[in-house]
Amino acid sequence: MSHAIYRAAELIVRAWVKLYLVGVPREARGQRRAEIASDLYEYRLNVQEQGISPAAAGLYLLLRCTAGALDDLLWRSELGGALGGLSMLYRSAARAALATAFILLLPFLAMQLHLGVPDPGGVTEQVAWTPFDFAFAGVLLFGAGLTYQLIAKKMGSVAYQAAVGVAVAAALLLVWVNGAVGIIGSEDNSANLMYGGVLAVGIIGTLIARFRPHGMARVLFATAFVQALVAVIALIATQTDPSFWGEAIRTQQPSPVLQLLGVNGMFIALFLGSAWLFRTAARGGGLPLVQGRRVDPRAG
Amino acid sequence: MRRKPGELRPIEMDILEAGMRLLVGGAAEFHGFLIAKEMAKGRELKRLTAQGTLYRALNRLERDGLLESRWEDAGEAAKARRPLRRLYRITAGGVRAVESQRATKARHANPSMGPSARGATP
Repeated sequence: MSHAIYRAAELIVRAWVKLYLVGVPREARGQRRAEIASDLYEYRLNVQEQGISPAAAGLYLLLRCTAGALDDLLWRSELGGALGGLSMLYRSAARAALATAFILLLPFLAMQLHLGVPDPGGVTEQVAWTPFDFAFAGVLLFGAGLTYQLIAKKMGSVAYQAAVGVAVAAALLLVWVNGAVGIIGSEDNSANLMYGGVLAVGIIGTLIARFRPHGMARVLFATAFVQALVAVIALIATQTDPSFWGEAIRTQQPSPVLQLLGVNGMFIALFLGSAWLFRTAARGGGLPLVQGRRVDPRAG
Repeated sequence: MRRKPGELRPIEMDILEAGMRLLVGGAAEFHGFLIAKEMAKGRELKRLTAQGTLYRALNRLERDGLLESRWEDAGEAAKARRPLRRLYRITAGGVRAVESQRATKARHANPSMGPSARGATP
């Protein structure tokens, strides 16, 4: 079935299966993956036989997957013995939560002690986070930490782990910097929404590449390219229409052009670095989910 | 969480009853999607059971000896050009569990059918 929504739904289901199977013993992983592959095939056949609209079938597939997501995680935790006590998912989540709590403790303590941080203009500003700031930072840090734990740490070579770490850190920084101060002008400048495209390319590309290092290298190159594209658009727009930069253009130090080149250059370097690491990992091979290594579901 | 001895959860009862209907219809073995379709027939909205819920329950039933499974022959799957199917079959223990659950339900629905009620009948 070639409908885009249906294809995307199948990809999301397969990516979810891969995600919750990370760290599951090989035999159980192979069996569950094969069972879901069979289920998806039979479902597709059923949709074609009954003449159901592919878009509706795709959405229903997503709904069916989402409705069972909790059971997927509970099934995983029921393998506790095989995983050695607490399931890896819970341990990963606990580690990510601990790291998040530790990092958030720093601004919290700074607020209690009325500490300040110097800003680029040399004026010291006191740390004053709102509950929303803590919640925003908490979700970002926990999400990034859990993603890294689940994908990188359980899945391969040092190069692959480093590649995921750099990519996740760059994405986290991009969202944080944009949310806190904005890359183009201030955080209120709607031109910063263009950076959503950078993240979208990264996320959709990752789902399509299914975490394979060859594909991930291409995704990170594309992400770096889109980041550069946004910078070029912002530069051209700033030159032709100074209001594009927002109110801050007259007072901004360093100049908008330097700031754009510096900040975007840093992100481009991070994404390219991650792409290079993925390529190195692909050349080294030896990853559990890489090169489509087949696990005989009947093994053992 | 393990069930109390002799007690089936609603999803497990649904699976076993649908499996027994398929057995009566001539299909001694069933795969995951087939049982989901059979279960949906008995529902008002014809909803398919969520994948996670279905396969978790199938695993539990197999672990508790109420179902047994095998992977179909790879040649057969290759001939049909489809992924391998995991085929389940209800065990004798599974049939007994369904019958026992049905009897318990019937007793709850009609207390006069219960053994103590029968004993008290003059």
